Amino acid sequence: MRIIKNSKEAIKSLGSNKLRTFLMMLGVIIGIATFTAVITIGQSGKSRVMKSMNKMWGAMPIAITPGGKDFPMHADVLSAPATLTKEDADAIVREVPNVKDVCLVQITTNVPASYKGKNTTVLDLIGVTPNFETYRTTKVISGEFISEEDMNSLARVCLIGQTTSKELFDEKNPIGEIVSIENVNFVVKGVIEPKGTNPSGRDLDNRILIPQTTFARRMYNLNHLSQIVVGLVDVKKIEKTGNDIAAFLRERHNISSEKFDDFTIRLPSTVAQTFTKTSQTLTIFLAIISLISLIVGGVVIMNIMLISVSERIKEIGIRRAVGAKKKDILSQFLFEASWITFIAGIIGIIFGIAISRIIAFISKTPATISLGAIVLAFIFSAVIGIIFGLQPARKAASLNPIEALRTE
Amino acid sequence: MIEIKDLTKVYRFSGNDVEILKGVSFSVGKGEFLSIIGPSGTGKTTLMNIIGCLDVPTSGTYVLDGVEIEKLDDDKLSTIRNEKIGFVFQTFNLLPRATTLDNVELPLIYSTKSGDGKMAKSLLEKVGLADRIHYRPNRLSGGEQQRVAIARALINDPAIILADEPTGALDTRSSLEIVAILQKLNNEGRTIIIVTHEPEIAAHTKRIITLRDGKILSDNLNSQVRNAEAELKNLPVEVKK
Repeated sequence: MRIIKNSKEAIKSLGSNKLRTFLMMLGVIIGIATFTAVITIGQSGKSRVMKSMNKMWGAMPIAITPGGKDFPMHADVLSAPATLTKEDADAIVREVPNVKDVCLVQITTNVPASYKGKNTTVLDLIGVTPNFETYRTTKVISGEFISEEDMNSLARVCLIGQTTSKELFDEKNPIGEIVSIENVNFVVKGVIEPKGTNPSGRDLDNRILIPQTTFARRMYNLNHLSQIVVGLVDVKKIEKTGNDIAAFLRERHNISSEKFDDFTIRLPSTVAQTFTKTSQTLTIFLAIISLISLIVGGVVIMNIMLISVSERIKEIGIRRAVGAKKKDILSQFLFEASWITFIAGIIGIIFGIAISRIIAFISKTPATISLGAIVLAFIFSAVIGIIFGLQPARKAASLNPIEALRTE
Repeated sequence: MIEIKDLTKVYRFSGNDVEILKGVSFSVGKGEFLSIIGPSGTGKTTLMNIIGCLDVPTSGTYVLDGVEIEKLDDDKLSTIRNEKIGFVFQTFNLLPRATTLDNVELPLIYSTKSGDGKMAKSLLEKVGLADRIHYRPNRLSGGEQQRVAIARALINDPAIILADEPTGALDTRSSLEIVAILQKLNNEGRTIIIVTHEPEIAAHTKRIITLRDGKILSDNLNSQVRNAEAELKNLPVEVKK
């Protein structure tokens, strides 16, 4: 087959000038590698969000936070709008159907804590009710969780996270030790299992949990909340219940129809969406950048091939003299460009996967190799090869054989 | 084999028409060994390009091996070049990055046959380069390169061998060696046309056409064909330094 012969000639020609071939491949390798890596990392980011959502929101409850959608979910109760109260929470349990119970959460950040002269700043001090254990999947690996009795007696007991424990106690068992938090002494009741970071990178192990009543009355004298976590009887009706709660709170807070909510209902799915949306936008942005670099790679191929055509005018003349048709020359040069991008594409994909593996290793997340990304990268490199190879190939084919032979 | 009638070729140079060939007619039979001579600028190269199907005449007819060439398009001319013509050039025109074997088999890429190396090897043996199969042209002498080019010209068993100043870049000994090979091929029945400005070389061919100002000045049979093989033997032995 003539076309196979032309393809073989293209490979021979590429093999006989390795430096030129390598330089042409470089741009495409970099472009494809970046593209593959970006898509792969983006994909793993998505699956990582879903995983950590499951880790945090085991029972799939609804969360209500004070202020509109613009307020962060993780707001410090001292600075957040004081629009959600324990009375709101109690009313929701009483009035809204499908609500099983509520978990009250008060958070304040960057709290000084000390143990025997050792000082640290705890990222999150969180006042919680006992059902936080299930609604935010917080297991204690030693000791016990906060109990109803602790709540009733405003007990000065606390649970500490891994990071905090390490900073205050090193390897020592902290159970039963006395920690000073904002100059109030607490007995360590339990140690929380390692939780890692949330999707936005916040360390979930640098925290101390205390009974919500202790937080509200003994420490800060606050009645409003950072979050109300609502447990459901039937999780399948989560959207309807979310809407019911919203309507109920609007009425309770006397919000007229033209005004915005002074609270935000957050369903697990919408929270996950926010996180994935950010990472998706970033992925698309980076993918576009890598596509631009791919196009630059294509332009490099075109340039070098154009130069190579003028260097090889004599060769083209010889081939034409011994019987090559215009389309033979065209297909040889097109094959050269295509083979380059094809091989560079494969190398780029291998590099891309390697890069994402390395990043996954460093950030300790699994790398999801996406077949779609690989196929897409392949198609792109093939298209680049043909588009940018066409012009030089046309130029080569259109040379007059007599003049080409005369060139030195 | 070749039938040329009233061939003209007009080129346009900066707006002016210049008639390079002004009505050339001749025919070449099978097995002839012909040289076309004349000083430079007489239309030799143009005639040779037309005979070689690299160019088409402005008017007149050209029949090669039963095919009316002047009616063919670019693709068909390529096929004719591939199947019916074996080129030998002054500057050898080998691919610098390809081996001797690949160079000889180059025309097969553009033909329906495919190279298995056998044919090329036997041709290289014939021109005395059996031991240079895997060399690249830059490791061969001028004479050796021209012999590779002759082997390449023969690979498709062409109707004619067309040699354009085949000895123009060679010393006396290498020139005679090349002419000797061409004479041998002619003795085996090959039709060969040499275009040259050297009467010395033309003296080895059986028929000499002299061109002047785009016309045939004379077309004579050579009564005293010189034998290159014999002359080689009489050359003073080279002193190797």
